[in-house]
Amino acid sequence: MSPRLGPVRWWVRLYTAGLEPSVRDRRRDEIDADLWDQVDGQAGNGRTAAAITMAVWLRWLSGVPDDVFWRREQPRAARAEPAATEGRRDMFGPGSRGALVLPVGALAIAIAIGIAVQVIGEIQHQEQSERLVPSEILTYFGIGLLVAGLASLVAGFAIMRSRPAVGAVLAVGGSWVAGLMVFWLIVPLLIAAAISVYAVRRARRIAAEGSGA
Amino acid sequence: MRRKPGALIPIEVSILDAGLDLERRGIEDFHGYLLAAKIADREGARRLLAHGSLYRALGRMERDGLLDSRWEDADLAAAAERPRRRLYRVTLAGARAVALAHAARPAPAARPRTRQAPA
Repeated sequence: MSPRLGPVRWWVRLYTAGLEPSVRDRRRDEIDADLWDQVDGQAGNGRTAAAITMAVWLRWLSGVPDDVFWRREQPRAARAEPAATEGRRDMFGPGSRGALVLPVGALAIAIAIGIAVQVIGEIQHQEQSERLVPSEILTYFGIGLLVAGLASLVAGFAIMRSRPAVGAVLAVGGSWVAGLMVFWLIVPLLIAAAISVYAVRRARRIAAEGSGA
Repeated sequence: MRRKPGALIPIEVSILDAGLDLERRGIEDFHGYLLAAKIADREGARRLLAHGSLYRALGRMERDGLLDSRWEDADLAAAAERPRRRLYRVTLAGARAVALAHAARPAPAARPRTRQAPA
């Protein structure tokens, strides 16, 4: 088994998307080399693939705020031709990707925390113990994520007309964060799936109308 | 973290100290992971500096003239069958800045004794 680096590379690709190619490629290549060096160095010290994955992920996650700030410090890449002259605009095209970094990152972290809350809650429920995290804390996290998910869902639809891509991401992510908190009922997950399909279709329609104007 | 013009923030001091330490050991050009490992070693930290924090600081320090950087020879990387590394070097301005930062730092106060020596 080899260390799982895919999520780290995915994140780097996400927050560098839409930047000047030289800046984008430098950051991607530099992190790629760093990952290689870390895996090589730690495997040479006899660490297991799971331990290396954990170390890499901790390094990655603790630096996410700096990645977001770094991204905000970068000058935006010159946009391609205006959408109106290009025909149908791609909702998630290069011009939109920069604005997606923050919502996608925040929702990915919220979903990761949500999964952790549910897994820890399930383990403690099975063991009838609170050896990992007090149940009260899990409940607060669960309620907080449920509220945040619903707020994201509402905000997504509210801004969809002006920012279709960001709106779709917020609506889809929010519906799944909220659905995750009540995962033992199948209905919320089905509702989340239906909302996701509806939100993406609606955003695409708005984007197409905008580009045709 | 924002800083006053000309002043270094702690992560920058750590980077420059580690870079100069590597230089004294004959490694004039260092890459990001080596630097992170060196900083962890010097400071006794169990975890390495996060990617985001490290590379954001390196970029800022290069822009401010405290570090220089270049890509390593692609043939060297290919021969070693690994990705090409970005190599950094502490500039004269970086060495001066960290020396000033250390000079400006107040000397640590002597620890009060809590136990009497046996008579």
